[in-house]
Amino acid sequence: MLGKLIKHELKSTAHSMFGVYLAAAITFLSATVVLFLNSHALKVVGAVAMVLITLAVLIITLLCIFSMFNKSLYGAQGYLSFTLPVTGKQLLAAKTIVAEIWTTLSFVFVGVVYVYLGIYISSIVSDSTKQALSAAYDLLQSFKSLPDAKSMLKLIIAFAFLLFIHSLCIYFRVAFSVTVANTKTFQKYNPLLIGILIWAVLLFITYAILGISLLIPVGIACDASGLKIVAGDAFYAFDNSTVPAMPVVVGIVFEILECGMLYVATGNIMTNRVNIK
Amino acid sequence: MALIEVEHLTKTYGSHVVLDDISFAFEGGQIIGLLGPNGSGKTSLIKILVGLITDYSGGAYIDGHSADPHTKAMVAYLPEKTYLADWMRCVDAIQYFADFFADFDQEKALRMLEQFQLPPKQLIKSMSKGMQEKLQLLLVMCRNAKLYILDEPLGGVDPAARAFILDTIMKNHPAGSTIMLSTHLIYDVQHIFDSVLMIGRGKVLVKASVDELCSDGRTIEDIFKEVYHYAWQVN
Repeated sequence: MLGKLIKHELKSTAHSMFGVYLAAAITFLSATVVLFLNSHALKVVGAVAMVLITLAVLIITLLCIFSMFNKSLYGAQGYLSFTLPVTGKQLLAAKTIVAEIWTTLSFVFVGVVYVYLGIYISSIVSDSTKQALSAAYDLLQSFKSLPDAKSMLKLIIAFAFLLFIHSLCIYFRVAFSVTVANTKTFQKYNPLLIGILIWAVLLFITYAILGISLLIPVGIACDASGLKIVAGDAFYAFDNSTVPAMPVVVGIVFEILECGMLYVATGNIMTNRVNIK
Repeated sequence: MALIEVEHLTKTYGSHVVLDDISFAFEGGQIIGLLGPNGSGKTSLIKILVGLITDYSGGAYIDGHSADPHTKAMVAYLPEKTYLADWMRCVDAIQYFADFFADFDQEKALRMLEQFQLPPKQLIKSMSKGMQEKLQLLLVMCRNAKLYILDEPLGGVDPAARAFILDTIMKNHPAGSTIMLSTHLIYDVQHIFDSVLMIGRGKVLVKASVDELCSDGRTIEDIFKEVYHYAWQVN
């Protein structure tokens, strides 16, 4: 059933998301055309447009995900969603997986645009696209002094994992807040207001704990010998320089626990506490 | 074991008691009329049975289970509201039901789509309310469910549409299945009921088979008027 839920969730969100990506692609292509024109002013406008479209893509992705969550569960569509032969946790899992797919796609789009933008801005500064590409190549060459490719890959995976857990937490916090706002206790008030209030409280608690966790010096570091978890020493030797080991391990463990707790709590509330108006 | 069983069920909205410690049970294989005026708690009772309302005291069971994936797989529920997503077309809605309900007859649904003159590829959001209601009725009645729970399917439609809806329900429910149909429009439907449950002011006012009730020659409508006139007077 989870596979079917994911399939239909993808179909229902694709309509909005493809609109967003289409608008982004058109802006991206228009700005690219401007790159080949001989006007500095237009090139600057193109660069600004690219930055704006990436911001818009990220914001609209989040808004689309959250509004679909609310609409398909706690609006009229909830009459169908909550009478399907599935559990609350399955509904939540499907929505989360699809939300992560769209978030990843949006971040990949933003990543691609920013890499492109780096070259684009270089071309404005250097007056030559060829020169800009050469500068980008030189930058890549400088990575030669970094640890071996395997360690770099591990570092990238670790970074992607951190982002994944962080985005999962963002999603679960909203899902929990919206769901609690639709329980009997809070339904008599404005659900949107209550949802925002619960979300703000959750966010405050989370960031307070994450702030405290930074004081515990257990971090991830990458040096010439590869990727490692370090404790105590905040700085790491790295190719004749020092790189701070990010003390994120306790924080990420907390976020993983938070995700688990919010998933179970939201799934149970959806099954046992929610009323569809 | 009774197919539908309700034990000491109480549901309140703030200080307003909609269902007040009610209990009843129905065996399967019959058509049950859930009768009562507007605001008598019919929809709340139905929403509890199908799992859309979870904050109540007492028990509400279908096939011995509180609302869960087991009961949801065997209940075909038609709400008062239109619940299909805006982006869907008729064919998408049919595929949706076929994916989630093992008892859904997709071929029959496609045939009925043609009979009902519903354009398969028209967006649901661009359909009239009547067309949307027709589609929902089609989707529900193309399930070979053990229990059909139909909430006010005759409300807000003209007499010709009422006849069409009743005809669709009667022709398409499988033999041996149970239908619980809520309505406050008794005249059009009283002939189809095997049993009736009349609720009002939070209580079960009548629960009996039609044969018992009409043994003295009165119609369900006569009894309805008598019961609710009385119930309204004493409360």
